[in-house]
Amino acid sequence: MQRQSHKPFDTSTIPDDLAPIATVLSPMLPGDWRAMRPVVDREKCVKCAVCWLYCPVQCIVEKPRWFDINLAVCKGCGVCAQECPHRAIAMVEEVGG
Amino acid sequence: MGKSFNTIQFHADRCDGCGDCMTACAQAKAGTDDLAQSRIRIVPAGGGVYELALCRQCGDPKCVMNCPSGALTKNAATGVIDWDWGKCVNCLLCTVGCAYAGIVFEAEVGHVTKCDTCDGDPACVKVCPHGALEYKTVAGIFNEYGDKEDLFAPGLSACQGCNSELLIRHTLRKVGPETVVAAPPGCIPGMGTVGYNGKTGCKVPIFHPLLTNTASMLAGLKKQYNRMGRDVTMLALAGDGGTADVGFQSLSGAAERNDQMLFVCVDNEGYMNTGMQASGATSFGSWTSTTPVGSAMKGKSTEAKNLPVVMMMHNCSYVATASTAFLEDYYAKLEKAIEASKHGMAYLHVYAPCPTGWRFSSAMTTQVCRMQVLSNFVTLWEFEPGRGLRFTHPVDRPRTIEEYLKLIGKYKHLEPEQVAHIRKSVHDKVAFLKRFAAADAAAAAG
Repeated sequence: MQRQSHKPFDTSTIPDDLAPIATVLSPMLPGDWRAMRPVVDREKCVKCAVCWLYCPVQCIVEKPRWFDINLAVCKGCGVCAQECPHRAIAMVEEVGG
Repeated sequence: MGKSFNTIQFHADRCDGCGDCMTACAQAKAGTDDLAQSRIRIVPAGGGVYELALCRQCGDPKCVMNCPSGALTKNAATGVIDWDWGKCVNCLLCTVGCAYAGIVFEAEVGHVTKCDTCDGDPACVKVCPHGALEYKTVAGIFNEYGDKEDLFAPGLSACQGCNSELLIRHTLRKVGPETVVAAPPGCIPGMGTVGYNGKTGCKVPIFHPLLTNTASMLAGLKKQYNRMGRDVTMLALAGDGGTADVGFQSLSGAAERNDQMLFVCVDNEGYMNTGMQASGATSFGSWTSTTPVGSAMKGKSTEAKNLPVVMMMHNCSYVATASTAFLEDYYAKLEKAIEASKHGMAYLHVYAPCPTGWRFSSAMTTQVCRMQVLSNFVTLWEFEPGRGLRFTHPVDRPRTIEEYLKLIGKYKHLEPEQVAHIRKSVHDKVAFLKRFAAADAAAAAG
């Protein structure tokens, strides 16, 4: 991954009379919202990147021969399965704990 | 990082089995009308349904794995599975491996043949009269931007299938880190981009201005950065309320002064973050919590303001409309808008259907966006002073407005006269824009 962001600055340099400035990134991950989980059929994936383009949370990760899903972040919206040109993504129900 | 590749998509629901694709392929590849030599085959599956037998150029191809002589190779640059005539031993093991009948023995020529996507310009796609074949060229965006860091936190609490989240992630990835973001009240800060509990949701400086002062705040910031001699982009990510209604006065003032900024309006047709109240951008007939459906009222009784046209009339340095279903078009406009924002006001109006507030399934977000454009409910165009208005994705044979409306729950109650009203206003809006485009094209030619 090509880093774009700069390192956060040292917050102790902010004068006391200014409003606080947040430099720590929110650690919340919405993977546990999911009711349906996308499952990629590796044999059908042609690496066209359509899922990556339309994934609202941008949680599609590239593997050498297919695209996969970062399930810690995926909210299970189903856009990828709907848009996949080769129907390589199926939505399956999340069951169990 | 690896690479992604263009692909041919088959929409079975639009195919009527006419066979034009097969004729075009046989012509392009063998110079004959003999359909047996076509590398694409449309196969009747019964009940008027057709299936496609065509090489999918798989990511992990079985034919290549089966080939004992190394005649088939996955081309790392194009993604096409190349067949080498000199190495092929005619064992046909490749045809056994393929699940799509994408590589088959052709008796006429005495060896196997397969699709080579006509070097990235497939003949079959161009001739399909129903748009059942589509050449997806998303790979270009992925190969250019896929490796760039997403500048928002991975966890934002937008609804499932949120269009605004998709849009802001792509936007900031492209605009880059030398940026100050302003997100006035609405879904975008509401989903946590400006942070919660002392933590931030964004890896560049982000402000949460009032609804009323987004544009004026950025105008002041830009002046200070200019004084310091730093080239920093001022990016507003505002909803339609923060743009068309409450935020309009300061936006109009900044546009009048042609202040240097990139103002992106994410138009989800209402105040969705606070409970789906109607805004000035809410379309006619829409159900919202302030334009309910009952005996006295049948949804919103007035039209949406056409804000991008209003901004065009300010003669901004760049004005464009965009849709998240057409992100290649959006990236191209963003490129121009970033450049224009170094000199003056660049305004992008992005139509962003909202699954929660409009009442449709989260999986349908992109499809609803696409149908908005394909039915001409919204039009994609750009405006540059001196060059005028130009359509970037003209739709000459639009889908019916009913096809679009039926996808969305907020229009479920519409009565035939309301649909007729929408049909007429869509027609009028397109005709209105066409007059600008025609006048500007004539001025450029003459």
